[in-house]
Amino acid sequence: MITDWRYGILILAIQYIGVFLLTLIQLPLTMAVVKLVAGWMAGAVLGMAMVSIPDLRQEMEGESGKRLVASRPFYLIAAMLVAMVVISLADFALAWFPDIQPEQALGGLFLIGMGLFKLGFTVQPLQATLGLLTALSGFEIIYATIETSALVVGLLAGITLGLALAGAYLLMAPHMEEA
Amino acid sequence: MIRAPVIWILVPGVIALILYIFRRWERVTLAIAILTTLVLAGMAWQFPIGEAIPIRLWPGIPSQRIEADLIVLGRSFVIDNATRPMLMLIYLAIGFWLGGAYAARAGRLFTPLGLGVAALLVAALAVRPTLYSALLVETVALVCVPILSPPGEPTMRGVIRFLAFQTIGMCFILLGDWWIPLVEASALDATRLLQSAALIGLGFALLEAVFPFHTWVPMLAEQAHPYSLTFVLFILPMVIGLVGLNYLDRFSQTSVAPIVYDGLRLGGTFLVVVGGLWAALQSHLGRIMGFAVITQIGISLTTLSLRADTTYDPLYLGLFFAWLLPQGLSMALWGFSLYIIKSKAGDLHFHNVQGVIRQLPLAATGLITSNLSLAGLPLLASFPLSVILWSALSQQSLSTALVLLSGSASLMIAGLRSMAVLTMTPGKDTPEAPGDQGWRISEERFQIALLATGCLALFVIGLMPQLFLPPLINMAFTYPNPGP
Repeated sequence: MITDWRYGILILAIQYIGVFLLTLIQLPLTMAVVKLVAGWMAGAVLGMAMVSIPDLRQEMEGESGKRLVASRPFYLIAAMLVAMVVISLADFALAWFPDIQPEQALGGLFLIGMGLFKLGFTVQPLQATLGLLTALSGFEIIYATIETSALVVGLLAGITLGLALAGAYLLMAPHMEEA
Repeated sequence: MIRAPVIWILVPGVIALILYIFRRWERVTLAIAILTTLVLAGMAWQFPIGEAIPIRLWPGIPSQRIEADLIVLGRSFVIDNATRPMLMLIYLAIGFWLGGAYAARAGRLFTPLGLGVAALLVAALAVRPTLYSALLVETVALVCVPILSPPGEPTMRGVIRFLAFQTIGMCFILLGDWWIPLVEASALDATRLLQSAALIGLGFALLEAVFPFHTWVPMLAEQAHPYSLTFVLFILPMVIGLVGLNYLDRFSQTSVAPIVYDGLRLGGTFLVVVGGLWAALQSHLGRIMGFAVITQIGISLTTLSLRADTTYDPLYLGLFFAWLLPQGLSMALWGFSLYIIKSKAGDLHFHNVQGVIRQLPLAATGLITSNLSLAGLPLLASFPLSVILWSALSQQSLSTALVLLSGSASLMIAGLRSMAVLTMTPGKDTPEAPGDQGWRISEERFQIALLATGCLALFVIGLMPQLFLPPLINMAFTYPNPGP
């Protein structure tokens, strides 16, 4: 529902604090911090990309102003539906994953649901990247309950950063000269 | 002592980074990249792993041994002798594509990123346990983004969708992979095993652009650089297929093997039919290529499903490997021809390319030849393998073979439609009416050489398959886990 890119990135940063807290239940502090730092760096990469192109910023601010009022009730209802699906799926997650806690199941599934929801309603690179990062962070919460190896945490952090870089690149590519 | 993963993963990765820094010198970086791929392929061919290799540069040098594994963060990357043919395949394929990159104006990023893709794909095949492969394949997808959407061009929707499907697919594979050992430990719980197979199957369907997750392919085929796109559409499914073979082997030892193989056959056949039909109905040359690629993914899946036969023959797996040669060659030629036509006509919609053969005879010929080759036309490269596939499939299920044949026939119709449009007299509303200018060769010399070589190669492989296909088919015999 929030289409202002600044709030989007701020919420992403806050969301990664939640991911950090939820993964801390299973992961050692050092590994959970990796997720937090990777998420914040991803937000910083996207923010820097937005700041560096004034044309793009103005274009997006114009779009967000036009869209928000008309679509807000629809998005609200859809988000509520996603939340209901998540609540109904949480029991399955608790049954499937042996060490998962209820707050991890709810948090992880909610982020996956909202990430996919966001991804389904946008073709804009920034919003799509935020959606993908949200869904991936939800998956990371659930996956941290079953796999705690350093290489997986490292590779997933790399993918988080890679997604942010790819999103930043897609934002900036139309305004770039040939590399 | 040298470690194999250092040679085939780390070295090309570092060279790719260096080439990225010096990308402004496009021809030099391209030459170095091609040389690197050829040297690495040659080393994979010549140097056995785990055995002493005498170095005869000058007397006194002790023989060297290449060790198979390298430990990184507690996990190992293993490249053994069974992996060497796949290394050759990957590096030759990358080198082959890089060979045409300059003539296809694929961009300065194509060279370093192409080499980086090779290093990551080898890493995906080498990492143990295999669940890490999914993470590395996702990294490859991320590296492919600048190849598909070069700087200075508008962002394509297909790229975002590609990225989304690859990321979601990775998550499914990671989850499904976690379930397999759990099930093996609990005395074969068939339901859970099936759920695991379903998760992994869904993951691979997302990665391999299987229906209904194929939508990004035609979207990109309409907008992206055709040569770069065919590179991604060949290299990525090839390695995802090789990674998928590991999972197939794990499931083939269990009670759900028949369901997995049936699913593969059904999905593969469906892709061939649907891809072929859609290709026949398109009026955009790029989209036709996109759907043709989908049929090829379907064929690869169908060849893998042949392993379900109780009288297992490694030849069936060899078919999967052998198909890579005509597929790779045809797709590269198709992408290259499309690039040339697109650069002249501007747009690849039928009304824009009417009569283009009069200006670009070799590019048009390349496009038609590669299309018909992928459709399995006699005398062309895919035909000998198509015959083997159709006959093998008909022994298991005649109806499936007939359905597969109809998919190939549809792809052939798409080729004939393209041929009709490219050779027809341009209409009055055709932009610039290229046909009015009479017949002439407008391609550049290097482009002519590549196009002629490509077309000739498709005919030569089709006429003399015994010279080219056996080494690829034999890869099945060295493959570590030969079927159920």
